[in-house]
Amino acid sequence: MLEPVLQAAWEAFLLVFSWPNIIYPIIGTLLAMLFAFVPGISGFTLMALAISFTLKWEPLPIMLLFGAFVGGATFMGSVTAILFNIPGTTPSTATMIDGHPMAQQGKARTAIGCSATSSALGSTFGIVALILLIPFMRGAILIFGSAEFLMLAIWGLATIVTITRGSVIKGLAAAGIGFLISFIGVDPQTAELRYTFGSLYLQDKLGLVPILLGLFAIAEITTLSVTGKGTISGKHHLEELGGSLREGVLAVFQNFGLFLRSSLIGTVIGMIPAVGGTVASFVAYGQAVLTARTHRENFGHGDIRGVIAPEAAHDAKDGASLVPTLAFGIPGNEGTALLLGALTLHGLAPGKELMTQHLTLVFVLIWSLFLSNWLTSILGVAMVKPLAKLTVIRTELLAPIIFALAALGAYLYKGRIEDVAVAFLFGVLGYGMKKYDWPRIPLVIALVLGPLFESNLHITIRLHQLGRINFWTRPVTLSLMALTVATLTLPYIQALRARRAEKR
Amino acid sequence: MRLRFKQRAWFTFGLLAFALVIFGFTLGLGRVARMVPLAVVLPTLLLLLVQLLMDMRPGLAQAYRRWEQKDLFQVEPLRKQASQQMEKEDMERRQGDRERQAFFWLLAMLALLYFLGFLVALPLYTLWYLRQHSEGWLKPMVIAAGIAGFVYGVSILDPGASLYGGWLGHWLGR
Repeated sequence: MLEPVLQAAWEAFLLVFSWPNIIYPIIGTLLAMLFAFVPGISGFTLMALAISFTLKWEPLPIMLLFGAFVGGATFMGSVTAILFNIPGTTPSTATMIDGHPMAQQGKARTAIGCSATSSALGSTFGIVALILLIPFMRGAILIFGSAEFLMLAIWGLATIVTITRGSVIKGLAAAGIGFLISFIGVDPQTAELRYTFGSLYLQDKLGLVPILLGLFAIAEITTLSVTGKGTISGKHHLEELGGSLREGVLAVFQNFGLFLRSSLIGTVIGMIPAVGGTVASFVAYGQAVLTARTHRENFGHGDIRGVIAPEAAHDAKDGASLVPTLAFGIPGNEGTALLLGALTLHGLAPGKELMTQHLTLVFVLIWSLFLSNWLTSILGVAMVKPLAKLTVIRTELLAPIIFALAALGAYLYKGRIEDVAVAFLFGVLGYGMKKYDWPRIPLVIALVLGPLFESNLHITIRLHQLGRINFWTRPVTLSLMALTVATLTLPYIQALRARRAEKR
Repeated sequence: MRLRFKQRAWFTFGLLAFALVIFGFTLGLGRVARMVPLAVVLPTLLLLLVQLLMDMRPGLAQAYRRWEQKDLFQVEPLRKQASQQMEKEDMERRQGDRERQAFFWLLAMLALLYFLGFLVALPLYTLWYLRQHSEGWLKPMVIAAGIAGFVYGVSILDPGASLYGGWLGHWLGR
C-alpha cells in the first residue's frame, strides 16, 4: 500500500527541488511572509488574490505556489505576536501569552529563535504524519460528527480554567463576556437575529480580526503610552537585551516531550475540518500548562514552554489540514478552502482521482509546504537581530505606526469601516482589562469556540432526541470527554499530591 | 457595609451593564435561540456581580484572595507576586492625564479616517502624532511618507479592498 505513495513522494521531491521549479515556493514564501507581517491581511488574502492571477497556469506551479502560501504565513504571524502583541494570524494569539512578555523582558531573540525552531520541526512532524496517513485517510475523518465537534469545543473551553492567570472569577466572567459577544448575529439553528439592534453590520457577527487587533495591539500600545514605558522591552539599546537565539533553539530540544505532544495535538486537530489552528494552539498551550512539572506559575509571564507548545501545534496543523481537503474536498480552514478553490479551478477535483491519478501533484504541494515552513523559519532566524531591534524603538515612534497598521488591518479584513471602530472599541476594553487585571485570553477562547459549541450542541441534542446517535457509545466522544475531565481535575490532583509530599 | 465606587468598579460595572443588556434582549428571543445565551449570561451576571462587590469592598477582595491562596491551582507564588505587583502598579497607573491623551489619539484617528479616508488620514495622523511627541520634522515626515507608500501599495496589491475614501473621497467623487 505504501510503495506507490513513496514513489510519488520521491518523484515530487525531485520536481520541487529542481530548477526553475524551486523559484515558485521561494517567491511564494517571501510574499506570504510579507503579507503575514500586516495584521488582518494574512496569507489568505494573498491566496485569494493569487487565484485570479494564476488562472491560466499549469497545475504544477499552482501546487508549488499555493503550498508555499499555506506554509509561509504561519511563522511570521508569530513574530508580530511576540514583538508587538499583534497576532499576524489568529492562531498566533496563543503564542502572544508568553512570547510577548519575553520580548518585554528583553528576550525577543530567544522567543523568535524558539518559535522558528518549534515551527519548522512542528511542520515537519505534521507533514510526516500526513505522508503516513495518506493511505488510511478515509476512515479517520468520517468518524467526526457533531457530538465529537461539541466535545472538542468543550475540551477547548475547559482549558480556560487551566490557563487563566490571576483571579478565577475574572477569568470565567471574561469567558462569559467572550461567549456573549460570539452570540451576536444570526442564531445558527433558527436564523433568528440576536442582539443586532437592527444593524446590518451586526448581523454578520463581529469579526475576530478587529477584536484581536483591538484587544491586543491597540490595548498594548495604549498601555505603553499611558504607563510611560519608553520601549517594548524597557531597554534602549540592542546590547542591553538579554536572551539569545541559541537559547531559544536549544529550549525546543530541552522540552522535546512537550514539543512532540503539542505537534501531535496540532496534527490531530488539524485533520478535523472547520476547527483550525486557533483551537490547536490553545489546546496545546493548555496542555503545556497542565503537564508542566515545575514552575507552572511562570506561564503567562514569559515562559518559553508557552511559546514551544502553540508554535509546534500551529505548524503541525498545516500539513494535517491537507488531509480532509485533498481526500474529501472538505477544507479544514480558510487557507485550505482557498487552496481547494484553486485546485477546482484548475480541474483537480479532490478525492479519489486526485489521491490516485495525481498523487505526485499532491506531494508537490506537500514538499512545497515543507520547504516554505523551513524557509520562513531560516529567514526568521536570520532576521532575529533586526527584528529584536524593534523592541528598543521608542514607543512614541511605534505607536502611530501600530495604530495605522491596526486600523488598516481591521479594515482589510472585510472591507468595512465599522471594523475599525470595533477594533478601537476593543482596544479600550483590552486596555481596561489589562489595567484592572482581567485576563483577555479566556475571552478570546470563548469567542472562537462559542459558535462551534453552540451549533454542534443543537445538532447533537436534536440527533440524540431522534435516536440517530448515542453520545455514550462513541469512542472519540468518550476519549475527548476523558481529556476534558483530565484537564479540569489534573491541576487539583497535582496540587493535592504536592501538598501531601510537602507534609511528608 | 461601606461601598466605594472606584475606577476598577466602574470598569466591572460597564461589563455588568453589557451583560444585563444582553440578558434583557435574551428574554425576548425564541426558545431555541435563547437556550445557550441564557445558560451563559446568568452565571456571567453572577460572576460580574460578585466581582463588582469585591471591587467596591476591598475587605471582600482580600478574603477572596486569601481563599484563592489556599493554592487550589498550585500557583501560590504567582498570587503573592500578583498582589505585590498590583500595589506597585496601582501607584503607576494613576496617570489620568496620559490616559485621557491616549484615548484622545484613538478618537482622533477614528475621526480622521471617517472624514479623510485611509490614504490621507493615516499619513496625516502619523505626522501629527510624531510632531506632538518628538522634535524635528525629518523623522515624522519620513515615517508618514512610508505609511502613505505602504497604504498606497496595499491598495494596489489588493484591488478588491477598495480603501475607504471617507467624506473627502465622497466629496471628490471617488
